[in-house]
Amino acid sequence: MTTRSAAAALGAIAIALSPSFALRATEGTPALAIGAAEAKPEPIVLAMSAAFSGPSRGLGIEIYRGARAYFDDVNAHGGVAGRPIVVKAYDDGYNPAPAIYNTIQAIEQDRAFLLFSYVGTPTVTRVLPLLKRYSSRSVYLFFPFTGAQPQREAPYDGEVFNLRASYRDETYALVDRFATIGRKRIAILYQADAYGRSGWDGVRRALKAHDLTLTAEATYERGTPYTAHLTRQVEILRAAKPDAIIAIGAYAACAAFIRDAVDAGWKIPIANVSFVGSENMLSLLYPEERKSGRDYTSMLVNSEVVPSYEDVSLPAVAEYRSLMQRHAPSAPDVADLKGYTQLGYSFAGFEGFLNAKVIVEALRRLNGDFDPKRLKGVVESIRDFDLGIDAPISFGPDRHQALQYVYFAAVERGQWVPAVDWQRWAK
Amino acid sequence: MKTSRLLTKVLIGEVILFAAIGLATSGIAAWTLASKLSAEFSSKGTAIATSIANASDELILTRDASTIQSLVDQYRQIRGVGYVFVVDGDGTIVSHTFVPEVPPEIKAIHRTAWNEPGGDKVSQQNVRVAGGGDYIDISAPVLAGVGGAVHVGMDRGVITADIRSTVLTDLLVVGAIFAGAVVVAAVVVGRIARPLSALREHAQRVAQQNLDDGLEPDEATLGALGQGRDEIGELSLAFLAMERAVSRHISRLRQLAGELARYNETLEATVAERTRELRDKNAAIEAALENLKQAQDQIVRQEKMASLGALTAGIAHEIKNPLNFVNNFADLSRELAVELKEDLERPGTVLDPKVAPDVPDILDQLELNLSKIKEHGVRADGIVRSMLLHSRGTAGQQQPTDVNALARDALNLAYHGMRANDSSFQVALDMDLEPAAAAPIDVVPQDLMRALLNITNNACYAAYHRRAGSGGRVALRTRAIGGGVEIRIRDNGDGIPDDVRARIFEPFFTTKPAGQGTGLGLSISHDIIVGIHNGRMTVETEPGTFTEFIIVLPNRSPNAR
Repeated sequence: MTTRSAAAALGAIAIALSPSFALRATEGTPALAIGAAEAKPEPIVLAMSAAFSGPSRGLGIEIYRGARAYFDDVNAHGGVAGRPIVVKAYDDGYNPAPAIYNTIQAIEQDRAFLLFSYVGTPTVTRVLPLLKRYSSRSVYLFFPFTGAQPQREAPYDGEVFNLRASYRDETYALVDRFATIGRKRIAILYQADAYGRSGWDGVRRALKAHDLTLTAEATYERGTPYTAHLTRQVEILRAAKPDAIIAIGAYAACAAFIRDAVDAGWKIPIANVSFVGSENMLSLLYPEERKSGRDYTSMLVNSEVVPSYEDVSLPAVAEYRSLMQRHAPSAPDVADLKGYTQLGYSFAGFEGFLNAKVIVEALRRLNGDFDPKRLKGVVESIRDFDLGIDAPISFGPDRHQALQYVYFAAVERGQWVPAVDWQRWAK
Repeated sequence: MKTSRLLTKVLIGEVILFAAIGLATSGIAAWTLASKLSAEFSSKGTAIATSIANASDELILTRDASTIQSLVDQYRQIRGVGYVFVVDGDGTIVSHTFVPEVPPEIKAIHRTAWNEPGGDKVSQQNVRVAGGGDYIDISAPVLAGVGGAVHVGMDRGVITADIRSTVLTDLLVVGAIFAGAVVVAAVVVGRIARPLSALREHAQRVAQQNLDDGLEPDEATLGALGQGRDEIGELSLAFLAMERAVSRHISRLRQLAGELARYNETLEATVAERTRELRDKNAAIEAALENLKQAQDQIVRQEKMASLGALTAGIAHEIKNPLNFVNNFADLSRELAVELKEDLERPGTVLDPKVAPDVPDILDQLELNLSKIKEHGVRADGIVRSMLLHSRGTAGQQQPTDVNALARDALNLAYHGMRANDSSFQVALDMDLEPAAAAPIDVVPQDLMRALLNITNNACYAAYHRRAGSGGRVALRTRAIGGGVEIRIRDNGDGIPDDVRARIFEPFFTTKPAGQGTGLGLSISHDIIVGIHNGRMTVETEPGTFTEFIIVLPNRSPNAR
């Protein structure tokens, strides 16, 4: 009798718990950014699920702001074919499950015209199957902020358009440069998920091309905040005596790793890929450096997939800076801005700006007929479009990857500047 | 209400029972969960590993590692999955979920090579990671082992935690049921124990109770006893019924006792009343006896006086004739003696000289003697006449008479008679005669006059001879009473001593010096008042102070008819 009572009680507990699951699911459903939706004319809704909260929120916020700078300007000039462009922002906190829910919400309820500038590999790789599910509705993902391979390869390359170079491009470039300056024992710190694995895979392939193998590897959990300590990872990698470290991670964890490595007295070049969000990383490390007097930044070299926004000789840079000044775009309402300082300019913001610029070009090429089925063909028809970064882009039915260029940035006086001279990190 | 012993016993029983249940169910649950969850985790891990292996054969060979990682990460979310890693055909770990690195114990996991027997099968082994817990490592071959293997580590810590939480839940549930059971037991036992306790207390009260007190239980006890239609309730009801029966009998007994007590009281009262009546009757009898005695005394006295009177009268009658002879011949003889003496004194008469000198003296002496005889003969004759009055009866006729005048005449006559004999006699007279008493009533005036004269005479004598000397006073009062007249004659003389008083109406009794009274006055007066007039005559006296004769005369004397 008692056993049965216990079983019944357990059942009751399970029933009691299930609403909280439901609640969590509800919480996972993103709050909608209030778009300037008007009855007339009907806006073009671009859905953007990204990290607007949590340790990687800086990426989502800055990409959004950069894109908004351009969209606001287009809207200020009448929009596209008289229709304003609205970016509907959803917060997924850099987690796969909310990203999936957000996408379904955007497609099913918010009637998004396309998916725009999603942030992160673990999120995007999980959203990809949804694009297959909605292929009949011609839902496409444009310019996700990730260099991972899945969206660049079959079976999803048909539903995704990539602007930025891939992590494989970035890691190849980094390994090439390190090998050039004699640093061939490469260790890797990577995020224990699809993003980190993507970078890991890239680094391995690059090393293999040089007949090298990974010297050491260590992982960290996605979502690790800057306040966490990564001394274990530092010890693991340091024990293998590498020449250089390539970090495939988010800015909070990577900054923490750099801090702990320097604090441990380890002086070694550390390279981060574009996804890290260089400015956000520096905004963590530079105050720390000013405060402690330790040198956290001189051994940093980051690979970027867009030119430096300091290179004002480029027309797009000038346009970006001017439109950021003019429209001063703010973060979306869904963003968690507590303790966050919005950046002036950033690589991520500039990339969002460039993404927006290509989208507007594509929308214009629709010539007022906003049939989503036409979108893919229209984008694939773009040839040698001048973005203003001295790198004309082209798309085609077999070409959904526009850029391959990798740029390097280093810190000088608290600023990211183009890294030209690698000899200073030579072994 | 103090803790019921019954409740304590039930609680102890419950504690033992629930402790046993808790331990037993917890132990069974723990054991069952340990075996079931191990098996469950094993099959779960096998399913996951096989699933990933089947899905990733193409991925491992052709695709970016992040695709596998993305797949692996999804399974990492499944509860109980501690880790997942994938090795390729060269044995390199191409995807894993470890942070911060792949533990050496995991790297050391040996899997049978694809070209060895069993290399194409799912295998399972236990792995303990230092500082990382215990795992059931399940490895599934990819492409029959050629493409590598997928390892899934099922966390035994989850099993332990599950067992712990289940046991805890079980104990909590048992504890909660225990608490509920305690409450239920408390209520039920309370419902049993309270009436029982109330019954017991009531029974004790009843046992200790003075039977004079009521046996009915009070409201609270009734409330406690009355509830419940179970055996306790029936017991209570039976007890109450018994008690009521006892109560009825007792009240019947009490009623009988009351009646008995009332009978007793009535009996006592009756007895007391009878006693009182008897006492009254006794008193009446005594009074009657006293009256009888008095009457008898009076009768005796009257008979005595009557017989005395008759005797006296007889004697007087017999003495009267001889006495007449004595008186007459004494008188005659004295005359003869006088004649003889005169004869002798005549000249001429010579007598023998020898006797001559003595003869005149003797004749004088003879004459004196004969005078003395005559004198005393007359006095005796007076006495005899008085005596004869007793026997004579009434001589006079009754006639309406003014008693006031009669009494006043009697007193005046007595007074002047006394003064006639003794010139020094002096007493004060005080007469208070009510006019109403002057109404004529039927009396024999001559007799009544004698009686009153006797009494007033005595009064004057007493008043005059009082030892206190002068100041004697005699009062006469009359007043009309219903149907008659009352006459009071009072003197302030020396009164009559008690021994004398009893005899004052006897004939020949007198306190006067010899020769001064015959002792017949009051006796005759008594005869006259009582005998002739059918009245009453009493005397009140206080020695040294006064004497008062009270005479009541009825208006109609039966003798007057």
